[in-house]
Amino acid sequence: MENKLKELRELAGMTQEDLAAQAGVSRQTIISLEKGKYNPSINLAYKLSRLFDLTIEELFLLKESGD
Amino acid sequence: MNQKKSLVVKYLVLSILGLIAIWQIASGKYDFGVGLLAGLIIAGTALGIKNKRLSKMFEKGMNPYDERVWMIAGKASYLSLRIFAITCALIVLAGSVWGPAVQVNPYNLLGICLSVLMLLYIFCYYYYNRKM
Repeated sequence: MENKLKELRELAGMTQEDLAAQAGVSRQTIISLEKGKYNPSINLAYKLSRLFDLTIEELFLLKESGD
Repeated sequence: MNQKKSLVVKYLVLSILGLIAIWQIASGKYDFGVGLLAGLIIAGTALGIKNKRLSKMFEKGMNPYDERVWMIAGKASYLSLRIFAITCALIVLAGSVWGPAVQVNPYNLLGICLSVLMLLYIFCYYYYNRKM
């Protein structure tokens, strides 16, 4: 799964720690999400997309391989 | 159980183990008593450092036990249990075929098994932590 988390976070002038605090997760989770190493649950995906006033589909993009 | 209650229980367990260590030293079992006491000091210090770090994270609004951590813990538990079970089965199989007679203290054996399982879990946890 790909996402626009890093560019949106940087655009909003937030640090990984700020985003982690707002989403109620650890900084390591934000790092893993930005690197595309971790696919979030539907709850976290919803929370993150709401933080940026986007829909889940706008923030997360499912790759053709389907992972 | 909230973090404060869990911390009280952990320190209570450490205190009880500390009393057992002192009792063992007093009754002449120096090796076991000193070993236990050294382990407790290390575990207590590590627990203190960990709690300080966790408190800072909670204060900032972060959750150190988020969904990713639970997923890693679940995967690590499953993998370590599988490795442990397969290894035990192979040892039992080899022992049953060749059957070398070994005399062991059951408490030592249980302690070794527990340590191996814990170490396996730690390795598996770090493996998935790097992977995810």
